[in-house]
Amino acid sequence: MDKAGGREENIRKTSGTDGLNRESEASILLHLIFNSRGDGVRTLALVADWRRGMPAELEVSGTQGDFEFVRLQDDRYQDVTLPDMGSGLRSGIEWRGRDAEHRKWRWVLGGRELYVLIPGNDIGLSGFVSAARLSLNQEHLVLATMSLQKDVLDALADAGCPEPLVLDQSYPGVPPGWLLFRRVRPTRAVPSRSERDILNALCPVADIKPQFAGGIRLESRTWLLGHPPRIQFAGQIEREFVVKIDGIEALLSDSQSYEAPGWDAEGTHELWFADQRVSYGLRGCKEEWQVWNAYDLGTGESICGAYCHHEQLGRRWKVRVPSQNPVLVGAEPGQIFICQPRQDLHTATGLALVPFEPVWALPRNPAHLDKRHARVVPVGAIEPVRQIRRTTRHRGRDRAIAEWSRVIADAGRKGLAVSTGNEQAIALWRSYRAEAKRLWKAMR
Amino acid sequence: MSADQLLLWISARREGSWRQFRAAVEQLCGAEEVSEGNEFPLHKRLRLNLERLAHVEFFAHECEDGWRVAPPVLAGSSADGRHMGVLCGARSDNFLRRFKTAANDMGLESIQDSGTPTVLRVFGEQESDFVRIAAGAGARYQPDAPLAIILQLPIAAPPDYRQTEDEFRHGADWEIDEFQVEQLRWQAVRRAEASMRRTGLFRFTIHFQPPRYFLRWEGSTHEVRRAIGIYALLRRRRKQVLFYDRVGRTLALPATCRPMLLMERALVLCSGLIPTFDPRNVRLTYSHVPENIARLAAQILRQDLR
Repeated sequence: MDKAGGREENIRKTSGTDGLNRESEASILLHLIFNSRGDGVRTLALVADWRRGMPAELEVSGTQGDFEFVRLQDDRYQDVTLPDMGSGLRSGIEWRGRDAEHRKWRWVLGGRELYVLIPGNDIGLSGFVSAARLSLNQEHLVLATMSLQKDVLDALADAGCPEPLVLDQSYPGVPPGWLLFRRVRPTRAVPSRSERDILNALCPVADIKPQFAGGIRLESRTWLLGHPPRIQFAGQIEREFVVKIDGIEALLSDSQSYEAPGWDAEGTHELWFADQRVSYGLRGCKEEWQVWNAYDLGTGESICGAYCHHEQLGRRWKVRVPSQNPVLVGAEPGQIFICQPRQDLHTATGLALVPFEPVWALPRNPAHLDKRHARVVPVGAIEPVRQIRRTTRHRGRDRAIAEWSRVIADAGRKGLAVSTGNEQAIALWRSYRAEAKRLWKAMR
Repeated sequence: MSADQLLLWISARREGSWRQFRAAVEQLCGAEEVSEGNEFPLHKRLRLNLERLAHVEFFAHECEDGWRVAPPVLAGSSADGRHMGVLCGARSDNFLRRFKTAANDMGLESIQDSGTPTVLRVFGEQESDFVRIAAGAGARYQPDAPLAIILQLPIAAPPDYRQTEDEFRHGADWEIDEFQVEQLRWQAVRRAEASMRRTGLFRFTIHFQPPRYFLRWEGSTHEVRRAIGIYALLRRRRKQVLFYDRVGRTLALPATCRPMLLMERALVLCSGLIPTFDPRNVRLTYSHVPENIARLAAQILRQDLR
C-alpha cells in the first residue's frame, strides 16, 4: 500500500513556487470537538497555523471557496468550517492569500484517507487536533474513509488497542463516507511499514513525550499558581520509568499525574524523564488591578466595572440625596453644596459627589414648603459630638458661612422635623440650629 | 467551574486582546455546548455576562482592541431597608479567601451558573458592614451601584440635525438586516431597499466582525449603537416593550430589545443575577429591580413602564 500523502504531493507539484518560499508556507490542523453530551461532533473544522510575519487578518482563497482568517491564538488562526469537509479532507486543501504588503502566504493540508487526532489541550485547544501518528498510552481518535475500515482495525489491534468504537455518518458530525474510531489507546510500539504507507500513522513509536493537561495556562509553559497542569507522558513507558521534578522522584497520583513534593509551588520547575529535561512554571496572581476611566459619559464621573468615580483628584463623598432636599450642608460652617439633579430624569433619589462630608440634606426654600411633608434629612454618619468652628475671614468664605447659617436657620424657623425621628439626630440638629443662629447674629 | 477559571485567568493576565480571550474560552470552556435557545455562541455569552456582572470591560476606553479586568468592587444596593453587596471585578484565590473571611459573619451566598463566574452576594442591615468587608478583602465599595450607574446614562435619543451624516458600509459582502418594529426581529433586506427607506434601523454584518448599526432617520443616515437605534424606532412607533411587575419586582423586555450594556449592568447589579431568558416568549427578565431603577430605565429608554 502506498497511499501516503499522494494528494499532498499533487498539490505541491501543481502549485509550483510562485514566489513562495518555505517561510511563507504553513500547515493546517484538523480540529474536532464533541458536544457536551458526547452524542455528536460539535465542531469539525480546520485551523491554519500562524507564523511570525503573517498578518492578524487575511483574506484567503482556495478550491473550497474564499475565507477570512482572523488570528485567534499566538500561533494559529480561527477555526474554518468547510461545507463539504469530507471531500476537502480526502482531496487536500490549499489556501492562498496576499497581505497588505503583497507578500504571498500559503497553507496546505495534504489530502488523505486517514487522520490521527490527539487531545488538543497540550497546545491550548479543546477537543482533539490532528497529529502525525499515534502515541503510546494516550487517548486518540482516528478518522478514516470507509474503504480503510478493515486496515485500520487490524493496525489498531497490532498496536495493542482495545476494540475501538466505530461511528459512521449516522453519528452527528461525521462526514459522509468517513468513519470515526473512538477509544483508541495504543499500548504497543509497532515498526513502520513501507516508507509511504498511510497506515504508518497507526504505528506508535516508543518515544516518550510529556503532556501537560488542564490547569489554568497563562503562557506557553507557565500556569497559574494553585491551578497546575496534570503531568502525564505518552510513549513506551516501561515499568522502571522514572520521573523527577526538581531532582526529586515523582510518583503517580490518584489523578494519574506525576507529582513530587513542591511540584506545584511558585517558580520554575525542571521535569526529568528518560534522559530528557523540560521546564514548566507556576506564577501567582499579582493583584495590581487599577481603576481607570472605562466609560466617561460626560457627567463628571466615569464608570469602571461597578465603580463610579470622579475625574477630579481629591476626596469626594458620594451621598444619596432625596430630590426634595438638594441642599447639603457639612459640619463646618461654609460647607454647603446644592445638588443639580438631571433635568431630563424624574427620580425621587439622586446621587451627589460632595467635596466635604455632608451631615444634612435640606430643602431649597423651606419657608415656602408644607412642614407636614417637608423634612430635614440626616445623611452619612450621625455624630452627635461634632465641633462646629468658625474659620478666618474671607469674602467668599463669609458668603458661604452666611448661606450655611441661613439655610439651617430657615429650616429651623419653619419647624421642619428630622426625617428619622432618631433622638441623637434631633439633638444634633438642635446644635446645628443653635450654631447657625449664633453665626447669623455675629455676621449681622 | 470553567467560567470561574476564565475569570481567574483574566484576573491574572489583567488585560489582553479579543483573540486571547477567545482562545482562553476555547481552552478553558471549549467543551461546553451552546445550550438550546441561547442567542449567542459560548464566547459571546461569556463576554456579555462578564460585562453585565462588571468583572471585565471589553472594547472600552484604554482597552479598545480587547479587554481589561475591572478592579474588585463590592457593589451595594438596598431595598426594603435591607442591603446587599455583589462581588464584581477581578478575583484571585487569595482575594477570594480574604473576602470570604471578611464576610464570614454576614449572610454570604454563592450562586453557580454555567454561563457566569460564581456570583458572591452578601446581605446585611448596616451599610457600614459592607464598607468593612470590602476594606478587609482589599476591594472598593460602591454604594447604590445600580443607581450610580444608571444616573450616568444619557437618554436614548435619536440623532438630531447637529450630528454629521454617515454612509452605509460599502462592499457586496456585507449582509444587511432591517429591524422590524412590529415583529421585534431582524429580517434580511437588499441594500437598495435600505437606502430607499426614510426611517429604519439596519444591521450590517460581515465575517468575524462585530455588526454595525445604521439608523435612517428623517432621510439621513447615522451610525448608532444598537439599543439607541431600536429604542428610537420604538418611541417613534409608540411601541411599549418594558413590563414591570411591582409585586415580583421584575423587569421584562423582548430579547431583541436588550438595553445598552451599562443599563444592563445596572439592572443586573440589583440582584447579582443575569436576566433569565424565556424561549417561549423570547423575553429577558431582570429580577429584584426596585421600582425607582425600573422607572429610570424606562425614562432613559423613553418607554412607559407597564
